Amino acid sequence: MLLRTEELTKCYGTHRALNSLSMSLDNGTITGFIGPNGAGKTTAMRIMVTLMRPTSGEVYINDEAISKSVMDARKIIGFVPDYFGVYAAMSSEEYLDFYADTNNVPKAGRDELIDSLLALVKLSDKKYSDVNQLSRGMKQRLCLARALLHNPQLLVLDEPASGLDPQSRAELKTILVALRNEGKGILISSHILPELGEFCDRVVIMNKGVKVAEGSVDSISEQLGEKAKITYTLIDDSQFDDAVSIFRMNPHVGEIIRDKMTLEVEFKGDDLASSEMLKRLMLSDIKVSEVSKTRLSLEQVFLEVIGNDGN
Amino acid sequence: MTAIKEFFSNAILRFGMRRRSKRALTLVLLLLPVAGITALLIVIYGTILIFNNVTPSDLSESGTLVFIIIAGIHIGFSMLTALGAAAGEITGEKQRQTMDLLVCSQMSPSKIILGKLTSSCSFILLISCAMLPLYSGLALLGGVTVQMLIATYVSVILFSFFTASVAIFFSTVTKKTAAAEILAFLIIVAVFAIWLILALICELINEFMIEYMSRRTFILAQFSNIPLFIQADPGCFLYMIFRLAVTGFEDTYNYHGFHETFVTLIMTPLQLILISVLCVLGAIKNINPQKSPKNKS
Ligand SMILES: Nc1ncnc2c1ncn2[C@@H]1O[C@H](COP(=O)(O)OP(=O)(O)OP(=O)(O)O)[C@@H](O)[C@H]1O
Ligand SMILES: [Mg+2]
Repeated sequence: MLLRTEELTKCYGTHRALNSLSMSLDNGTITGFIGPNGAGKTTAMRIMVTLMRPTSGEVYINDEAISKSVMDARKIIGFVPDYFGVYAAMSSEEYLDFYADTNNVPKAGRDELIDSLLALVKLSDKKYSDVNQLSRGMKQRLCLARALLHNPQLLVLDEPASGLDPQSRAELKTILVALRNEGKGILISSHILPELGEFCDRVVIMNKGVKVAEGSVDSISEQLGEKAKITYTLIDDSQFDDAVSIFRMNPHVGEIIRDKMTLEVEFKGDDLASSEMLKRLMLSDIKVSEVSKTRLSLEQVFLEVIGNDGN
Repeated sequence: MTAIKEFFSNAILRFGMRRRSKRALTLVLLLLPVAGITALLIVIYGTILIFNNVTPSDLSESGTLVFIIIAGIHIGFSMLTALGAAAGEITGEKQRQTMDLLVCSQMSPSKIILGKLTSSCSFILLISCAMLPLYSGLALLGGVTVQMLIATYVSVILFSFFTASVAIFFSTVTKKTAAAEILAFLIIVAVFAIWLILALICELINEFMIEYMSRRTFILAQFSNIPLFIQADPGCFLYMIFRLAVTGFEDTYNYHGFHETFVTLIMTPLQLILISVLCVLGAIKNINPQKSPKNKS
């Protein structure tokens, strides 16, 4: 296993920013690390890339505890933080050359390496431009090129897509997929699920320092429980209470909201269970003029889980 | 040999040198005319003195005096430069948000700090080279010896290394360069002042003993020329090393004796080196996220 964390916990004073996070990541996969602001993504990532020590727990890179061999771990990790730090008056080429130095990249063949990385992140034409004058998207890509200088096996990217326009986002996606296909393991954080859902092999969902779900995008919705909203439109005003009491008897039913002549029912059961409920309404002679069932998108499920947890 | 080569291939050192060399070049260009003018003035001054029947020994005495004044300015200026440069090294990285990128690179914390330290002192090296023409101009007056030059450069190296180490330590502790500068300055002043204060206290005790018990304290009895504790003061080291360079070993030894000469010449540098090493080790520990107490909870 390329990366594995075991019961990572991080406390800032009395505030528990990360609570027993155990997760893993393999070569040749992209894992999305998703959670709202303050979920503990950055904290977890900084611990993984050796920039912080957990209060308890351990990170394993290629099954080696990083606390035992930090310098070895750093050879395997490439980190793109959620900010872009740079020295004044420096060209992209000088920027990459300096970090190649700090990462012990041999002098021989370095020019070619820098050229190929700039080509990979589509910045070949900005080789001699001042880094401070690059656009945000270009800076993000340059930062990615920097993280790739020592050809790390594991890439950790903290919100690389934030503030990018759809086209830049698509470009970033293409680059990451290409890197994944080379066999690198990639961990990428975001607070928006759809941003990652389509191209991540797996996702880890975090909320308030706790892992809410982990797995393939498809299996996540199962883990979170399939949720749907069923809307019943009744005809008779006096039948609402009866209908509600019928719904209440069903264990799959969650919240019930009445809006004029409709009842919006949160439902966690499968199709059979919902047809069973409709039959009961019919048997009780409750007049229903219209029924509609909408499944929640993964994003809605995610927001709901986090929302419920949050309050 | 490979160790030295490896040391100078330190990425941060080379990077810092390259950045500074541009600024340094302008400074050297500015200093050269100053040195030239000084040399010219000294020659004119010397000629006037000679035509006024001043003996060469008078002239060389004034040469020595001028040398020591300029050397003092050189040492002080080097310390201030070291302070300013080193105090901004780590805080600057933190403000530019480049610190993390260095720390998670393959440079160990000790390499980062040593690179930063040397790079912040590299400017002083350039200033010191630029000072050489000035010193050789002074040599025209006479009264300037190689020993005095060595004394100057040894002091510059020792004191700048000390200042830079203290400053870099505070640079890893605080977020703002100004705060690091002030804290480092206070500590350096304290190192100079503490021995003076101790000496003063000692003298007061002494006065008291003479007044009421009509004898000196036992520790003070054997040191006659310099009050106790001042010998360990970095300032006293400067006095001693220049005295040694100007008057020679024998004269110094005969006047100050074994204790004063050696306590000052050996213990004071050792004291500064010890503080420097502790500061450097502290700085290395502070920037290491795997060791830093800030990350423990
Ligand atoms: N240096 C710090 N000192 C104290 N608390 C901190 C520190 N860094 C983070 N926290 C707290 O830890 C929690 C997790 O923060 P973290 O930055 O890991 O979240 P995140 O998931 O990256 O959020 P975002 O999406 O906003 O980047 C937050 O509640 C934050 O207030
Ligand atoms: Mg974050």
